[in-house]
Amino acid sequence: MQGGKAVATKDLELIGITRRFGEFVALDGIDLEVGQGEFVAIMGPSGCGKTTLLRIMAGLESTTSGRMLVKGRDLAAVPIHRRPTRLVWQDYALFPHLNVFDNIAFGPRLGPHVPSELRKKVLEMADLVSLEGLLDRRISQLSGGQKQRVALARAIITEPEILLLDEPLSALDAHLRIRMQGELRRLQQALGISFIYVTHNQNEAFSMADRVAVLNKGRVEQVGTPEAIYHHPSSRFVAQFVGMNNLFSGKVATVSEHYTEIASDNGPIRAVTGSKSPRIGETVHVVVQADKIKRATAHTSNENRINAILRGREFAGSHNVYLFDLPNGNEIKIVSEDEPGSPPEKLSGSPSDLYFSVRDAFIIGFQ
Amino acid sequence: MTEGGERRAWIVAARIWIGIFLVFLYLPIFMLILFSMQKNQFASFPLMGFSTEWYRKLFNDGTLITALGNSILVSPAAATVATIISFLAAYAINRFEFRGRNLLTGIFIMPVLIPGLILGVACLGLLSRLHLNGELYSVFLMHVLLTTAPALAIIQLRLSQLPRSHEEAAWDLGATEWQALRRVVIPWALPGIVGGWLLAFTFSFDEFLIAWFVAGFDQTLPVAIFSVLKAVVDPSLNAIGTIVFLISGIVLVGVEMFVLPLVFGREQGTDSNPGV
Repeated sequence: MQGGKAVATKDLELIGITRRFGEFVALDGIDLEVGQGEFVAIMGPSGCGKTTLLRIMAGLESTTSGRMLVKGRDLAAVPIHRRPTRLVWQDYALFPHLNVFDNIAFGPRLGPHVPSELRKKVLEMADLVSLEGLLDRRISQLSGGQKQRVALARAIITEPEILLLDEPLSALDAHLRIRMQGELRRLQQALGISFIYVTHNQNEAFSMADRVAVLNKGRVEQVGTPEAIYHHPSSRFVAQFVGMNNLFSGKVATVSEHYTEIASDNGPIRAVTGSKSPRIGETVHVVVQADKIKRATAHTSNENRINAILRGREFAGSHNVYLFDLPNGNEIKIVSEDEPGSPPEKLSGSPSDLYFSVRDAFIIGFQ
Repeated sequence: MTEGGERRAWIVAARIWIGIFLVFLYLPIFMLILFSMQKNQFASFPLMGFSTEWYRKLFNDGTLITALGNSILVSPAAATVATIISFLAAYAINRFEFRGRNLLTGIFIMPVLIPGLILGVACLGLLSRLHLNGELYSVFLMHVLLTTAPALAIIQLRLSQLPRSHEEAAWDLGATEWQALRRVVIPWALPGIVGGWLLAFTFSFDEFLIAWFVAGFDQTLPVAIFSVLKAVVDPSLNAIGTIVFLISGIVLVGVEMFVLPLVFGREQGTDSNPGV
């Protein structure tokens, strides 16, 4: 990094953001950087602090300690109404006494403006979010999707440097949600500004974001591309939060160049040795994705084998999810497209051998 | 009886019931108007013909008209000041967490819970010590105190339904505290503010006991009516009653027809649903 110039290439930097409510620590030293025009999703279970973090970025909530920079500028002394960030609320927070046009024009009207130019700009915004012909409507006459668009237009017209979105699609039905995901992504690319998107929904985060930050108990567990988070979760929490992962725990027995062997309750498991390796005797977790575990008997020396008892099957349209009980009582899931037809009652209770490649087993959770 | 017939019978019964109710409610007022415009000294039948005599007497005498003028001065003024105080208090109570918040609400509501007689004596005691009694503004001061309670109750109810995110959204979009208050909070609270003002006005316009204690010679209408009533049975009272009824009617209809549509636009009330 070379001083000011390098700093300015970041749209947002959070440095050690901490927020306490009495004894309760809502946010515990959050560090996060958002590059120029990046779409970052902040994902985590309810109560992880993600909404508090978003409100801190908007200036609606104060921090106990920590700094926040937007394009290299410290926002500590900047009041809410002068911040370069805009928030889109989960309930949209549209003004019910104003119609669509006046809602969108709310921000620009607060300062000096030329009415004829403002009118043109509002029409442009309405065009951008497909609200043409609805400008005279009252808010109570709009559908959920239309309200969503008004909220977006109202924020964007003020030309923010960063748009903050608080679970904006959670109130929409599934069909509309998927369509809006595409539209949000297009809008973000057209505007070229950073979007910071808070959600508990993994699909939303993965389908839209350039990078995802997973939050748990007020801490950042992992930041990375959706692929990295999905394929290489860095902690037990992330692995479990990103569904369809199986976890095996045990102590490290041997470490070689090609694989590391872990002694688990369910027998020895070999996993890839990464660039960083755990110490022998250390307790670690092994992550294996549900679609990487096979029931087929193609057994090579490069595969792990575990005994399990089939408990049931969930039909999920294009694939089946099988649930197995392990010898130590834990449950694992495997996803497969094979074996259609056979009814689950006949299968359940039968012992099976399951296989997965050493290459598909990753070690996490060591120091 | 068939099911449809039974249903129709119920509807007829309900209409009769409403009819009786309305007659009991409005017959006295109708009688008041009727007797104010006939010759008989006593309010009894048979009627003895149309006359404007009592109105002439009312205006020639002047006491009651002066009192009406006093009331028309004091009540709107007291209602307006009480409404402003109530709005500010309601806003503070809703927006901020502070020590003694519930206590403050209690103190504001208290005056309506104290019997008027006791409050009247207390007010007189206080004002005479401050040498503020016996004037029209004495009534004004005490009516502000009294009518803040009902106005606060109504405005507070409305403001408590304002989603917190609305004011925050205004700030976020660049509004200062003052701009957010003027462009978002006050438009939301307006039905409550109008309702609160009307209630405060009505409380003050009707109020007798406190006004009687503190007014001195600057009597408000209820006090003046009572003074006349003590002396004689005067049909002028019917005349002043009719005038008051007309004024009240005009104020209510005026608010309904002009103020509310102005606030809500064409579709009155559609936007009063919070959070939808």
